[in-house]
Amino acid sequence: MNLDSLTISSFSKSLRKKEFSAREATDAFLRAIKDKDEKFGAYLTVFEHEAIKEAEIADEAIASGDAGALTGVPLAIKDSIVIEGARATAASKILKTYKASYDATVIKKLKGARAVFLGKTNLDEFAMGSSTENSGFQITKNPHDLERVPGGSSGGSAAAVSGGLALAALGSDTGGSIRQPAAFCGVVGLKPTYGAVSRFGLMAMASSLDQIGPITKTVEDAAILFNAIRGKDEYDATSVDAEYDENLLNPDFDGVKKLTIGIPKEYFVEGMDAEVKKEIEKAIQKLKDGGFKIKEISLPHTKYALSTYYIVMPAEVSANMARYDGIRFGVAHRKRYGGIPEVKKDAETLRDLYFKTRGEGFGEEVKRRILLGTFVLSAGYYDAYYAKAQKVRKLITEDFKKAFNPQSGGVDVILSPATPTQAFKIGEKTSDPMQMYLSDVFTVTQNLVGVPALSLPVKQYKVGGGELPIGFQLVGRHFREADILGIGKWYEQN
Amino acid sequence: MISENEIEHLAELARIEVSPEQKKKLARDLEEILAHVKELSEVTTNSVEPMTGSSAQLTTSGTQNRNGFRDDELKHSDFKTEKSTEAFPEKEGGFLKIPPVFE
Repeated sequence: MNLDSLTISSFSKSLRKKEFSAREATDAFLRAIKDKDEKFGAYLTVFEHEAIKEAEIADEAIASGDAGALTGVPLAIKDSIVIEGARATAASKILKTYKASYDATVIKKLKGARAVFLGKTNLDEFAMGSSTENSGFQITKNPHDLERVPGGSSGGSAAAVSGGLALAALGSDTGGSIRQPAAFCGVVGLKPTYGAVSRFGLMAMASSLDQIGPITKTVEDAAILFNAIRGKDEYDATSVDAEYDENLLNPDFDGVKKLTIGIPKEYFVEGMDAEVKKEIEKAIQKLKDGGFKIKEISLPHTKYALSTYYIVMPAEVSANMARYDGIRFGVAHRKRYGGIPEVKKDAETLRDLYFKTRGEGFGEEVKRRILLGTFVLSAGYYDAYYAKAQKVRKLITEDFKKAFNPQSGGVDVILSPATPTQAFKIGEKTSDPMQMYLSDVFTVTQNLVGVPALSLPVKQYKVGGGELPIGFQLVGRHFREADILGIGKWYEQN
Repeated sequence: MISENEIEHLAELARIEVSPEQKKKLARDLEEILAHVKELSEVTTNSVEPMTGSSAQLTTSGTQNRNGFRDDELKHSDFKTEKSTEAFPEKEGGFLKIPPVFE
């Protein structure tokens, strides 16, 4: 069994043909994790026993002819998504000891499909960061170059898939946290439309932006995994009962080729690395040669997206982080916990417990965003920052509406780079938060607007091949994942 | 200008203990970030309706969702309270235990 060449779709075929069992595959992945994860640091928790049990159940299902597309598929799950009974830390010291009491809706769905969970992957603490260096526990490395970051915040999931330590993974994307690490690690990442996937059981970061999505080796796999986790959920009021047809899983390339792809000129101006630009232009040429209509478009407020994001997001973060109070879950500043670091004297009052637990439990970036969010929401600054940002957000959304409007000659899909540079060196941007934030410049916009976006490598990259991956991004209309996955699949196969 | 006093005030509101060194660094960082995001003031937004969760026209990210009401009826759940109380750092008899509220 060659783990590196397996995809979800080839895996299912092999299982059915009895080339190997789910148990054998899970064993092989667990061995790979044991052998290689010391190098990559992708996993925070590995489910050695549970994964084997799940694989055996999958094998029984296959034997009785009751197997689906994800039966027995070994997956990695970002540690901010909860699995009942399993440790869930979101890479924060404040949740060092927390065990989840329920399954996230996406987990429930995947359990129903009899997938196998190999373990929980590393991230920037509470998904706040772009390099996975902000983890409270360990730094994850890029399998293509161990001196470089895998991107973030779903860096553990991207590294696990790219490094052959999982067949596919789940991540979450608030401003690029699936797409940017996918691009850095040479794999595929999909941020679904806001509302397409339930966030119940995802530790909330910025609730008007967060989405769960797949990180996979191929576009076809991303479609399979997305299809398994999507749908309205009574536990997430923002989830939507959207209709998807069979084109989602089996795109008809003749139909796909009738789609017009827009290239927003504002994405090709400043700050982009020359090598990235060259490769993206090659990708556009390939689509042109393939018969796709390509058109230059304008999204005039693009320039303001990053600033808008860095007001709206921290504002929501400051509210969402209030729940980590040392009372209901996780670590408290009390002696019996050992504390962080070890507590000599118990917090004596409730106020003291809040300040000490949060002061010690949160890392620097989380504190920075909570304070920034508290600032932009405070009386006297609210109008100048938060209200202003929500207005500009509306204008950014209008840009997309216009660009996608068929009545005014609009396009069907928008293509842009996924990141301004290739993976950067570990430590390169940690001292300057603004530099780190700029690595999200191409991905935050889609979260502000709520549209789906697929990040895929410009070509196939092999770990050990000596090349640093470059990715591009296809953005679709709301709930038109089928369009971007269709073009992506054509691109990948041609 | 963000002063260290201002950071202290924000940290007080957010209930986070920050050390004097952290205060210095956070003041510098927030200063830099706010200087960058200040560029939004160049955008004319006089007649623009802000995109907020409570906006009647459109919810936050444009899903067109309105209030997600469900019928007010008793629903059966298999969830056991103990599963949640297990996660409490300190508890007694199924209740949360916390230090005194008043100093």
